Amino acid sequence: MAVIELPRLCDRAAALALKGDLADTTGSEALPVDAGSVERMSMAMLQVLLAAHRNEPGIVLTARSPEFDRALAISGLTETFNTGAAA
Amino acid sequence: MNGIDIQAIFFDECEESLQAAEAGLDACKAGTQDSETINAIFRAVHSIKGGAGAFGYEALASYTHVFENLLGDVREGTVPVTSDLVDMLLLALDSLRDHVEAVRGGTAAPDDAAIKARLAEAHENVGKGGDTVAAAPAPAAAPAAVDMDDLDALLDDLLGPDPAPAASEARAEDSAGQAEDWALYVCPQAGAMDNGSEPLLWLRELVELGGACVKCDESVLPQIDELDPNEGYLAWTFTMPGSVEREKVADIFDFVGEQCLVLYGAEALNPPARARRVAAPEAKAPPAATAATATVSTKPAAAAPTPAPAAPAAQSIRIDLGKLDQLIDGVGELVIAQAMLAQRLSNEGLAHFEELAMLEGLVRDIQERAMAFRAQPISSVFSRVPRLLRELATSTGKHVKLVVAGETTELDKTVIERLSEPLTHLIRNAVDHGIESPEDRRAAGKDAEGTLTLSAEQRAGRIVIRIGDDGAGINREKVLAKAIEKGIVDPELHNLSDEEIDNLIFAPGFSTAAQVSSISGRGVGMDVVRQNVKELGGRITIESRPGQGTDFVLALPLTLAISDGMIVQVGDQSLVIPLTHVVESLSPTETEIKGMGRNIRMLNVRGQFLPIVPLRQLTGGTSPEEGLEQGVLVVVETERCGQAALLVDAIIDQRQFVIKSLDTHYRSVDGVAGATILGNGRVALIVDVDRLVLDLSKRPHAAAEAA
Repeated sequence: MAVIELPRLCDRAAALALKGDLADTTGSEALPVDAGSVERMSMAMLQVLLAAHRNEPGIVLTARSPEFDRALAISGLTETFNTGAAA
Repeated sequence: MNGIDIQAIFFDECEESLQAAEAGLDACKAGTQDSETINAIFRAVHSIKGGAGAFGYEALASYTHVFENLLGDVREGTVPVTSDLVDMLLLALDSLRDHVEAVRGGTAAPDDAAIKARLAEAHENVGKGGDTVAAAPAPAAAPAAVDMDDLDALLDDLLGPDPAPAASEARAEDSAGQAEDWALYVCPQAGAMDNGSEPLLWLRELVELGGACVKCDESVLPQIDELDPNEGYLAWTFTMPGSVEREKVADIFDFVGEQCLVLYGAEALNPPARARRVAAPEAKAPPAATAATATVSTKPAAAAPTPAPAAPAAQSIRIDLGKLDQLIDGVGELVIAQAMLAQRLSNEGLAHFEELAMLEGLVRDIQERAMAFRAQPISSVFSRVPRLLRELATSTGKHVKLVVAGETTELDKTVIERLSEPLTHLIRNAVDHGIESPEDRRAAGKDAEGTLTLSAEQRAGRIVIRIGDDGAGINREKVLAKAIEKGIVDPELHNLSDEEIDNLIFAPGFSTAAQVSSISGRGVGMDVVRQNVKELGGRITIESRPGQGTDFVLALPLTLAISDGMIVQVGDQSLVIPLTHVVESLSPTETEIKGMGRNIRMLNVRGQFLPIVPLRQLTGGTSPEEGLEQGVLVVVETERCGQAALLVDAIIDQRQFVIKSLDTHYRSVDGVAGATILGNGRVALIVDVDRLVLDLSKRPHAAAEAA
């Protein structure tokens, strides 16, 4: 399955683009998302990822950059994404 | 838009905020102390603080910070709204206005130490003796008036190396003196991410202060296809260490304004219920899908926890005044062009057809709408009066109640701006000279507190502003004696009417004040007041009733650009008499005209004799007798000389005219107020009725010599 790679700058524009990608995706398995390159996160991107994570088939994080982890930590979402996520 | 433009907007917004805060505090004083009123005051001061910080106006930012701290306490209900508190907040607002003016004018910041100390003290008194925010909503000590002798001590408290703990900190301390952690709720609203704002950065700053997220509320996050990434759906609850002051956290959200709901302490633990927001229809969500997911579209936006802009608000746009004036100039030219067209068609015998009437109606409509762009409510001037009265109460000891009516009446922006000075002077005079001291008032059987009434109304195409006091009225004997002493009137002249005596106070250099005060009584004011009003194309009259008070009545034009006038023919010249002066016109019979001396002719109008002023004097004619038999007399009302009759050859028309300054295009000419272009393309002079009649009354002998 194709991995969705998050860009370095996960701003509102990136969130909008990701929303479109995720909405177009079909299948029964969780979508792999690579957040290994993320250098800057935004609330918009967090919301898109969270919505995708909660909805079927969900997403699975295949990689996470320190900045991405930090964004999850400060927003209290680390545990949420740890479920089924790849370290 | 450059920095200067942005600063100009900031100052405009400051003015709006100051007015909003003053209106709110006035409402509080009148008994309306609901949360919406308090919030409006808080938002106004907060908004100024935000801008001041952004532009680096440190003194303003520092002052508003102290001001806002106390308002924050009021908003949370930890400081009760008492009459003393409102009075102090009004004084604080006056000082804030001074700060804004200082920044705008590039002058030194005002001395705010005393009021700042009072605000800080009131803020620091909050919860003293209480425990926590949640447990101690009991009213704190009312902000007692600060003993100014102890100001140094207060400043030491405020600025010393070991400042008293901030209110939140003080309240958060438990019995052992250990500061307890406290809760914080952060909920970005719709639009929180506009203008590049990023809520995650706020959270990061909270973490850097030692805060920790204990809960992320994702309950209103919609399904991904209904999610609008530009909207905020998440909310967070943080625990902040007790050592962190609430003010420090509030600073993080300084520039966020209403785009983020921030709650502290107990409130943070019980945030209001949130309603789901779904993407707007333009977010390309198919209507059918929205209808199908009934669970998503639950409540209207109005059910959101804070007032969301759900209702269609009145929209507005800021326009550079220069552009607006260009438009109005253009409309002026349009009025002239339309008049010229009408004239040309009339000459061709085509004056009466429907299209021309339609065009005339449209032009007048456009002109009225264009003028409305410049119209502002007079409340912007009236709103400054309470402060003036507070200052006057301090300096004169006279407490005056203000009654305002018609503050929504609109008039031209330029008129408003230039009205402020004469109005201020009239009010100072009313309090200083008009309203008696409390002792005298009691002795006269009046309420010790005087009343000043300000009213504005639109009447017959003019704005009538009345400034009335319930004082002693004008002491006419004293005024006449003073006028004789100063040589303003002839000592032999004792038969002046009451109105004429009242008008003597407008004479240059006149003052009855025994002692010149800093408030009024320099004897230059009333003359300048009348001059200012006249320059605005208006008139001022006095209505004084002994023992009951005095009213100054200002009649002002709605606009300075276009006016109505009577076009008259004098010799080969057309002249315009402003309609505001015209009382009536008549063709006199021989018996109605009487001579006075050799060269003055008087018109008998129903028993009243009016001097006849031949307008031929203005156009180069000499003899006052010339044209008297065939002419028409236009009776006019003047500012200083009562009524007079202007002699003209014929009345041509009555229409709107566009006022062009003669000073700008040529030079100032006595007896001429300006010029206009008539429908036939010719320039016509606008008669300065006051000046013309005044000149005649002053120079009867000169006229005689000329004859």
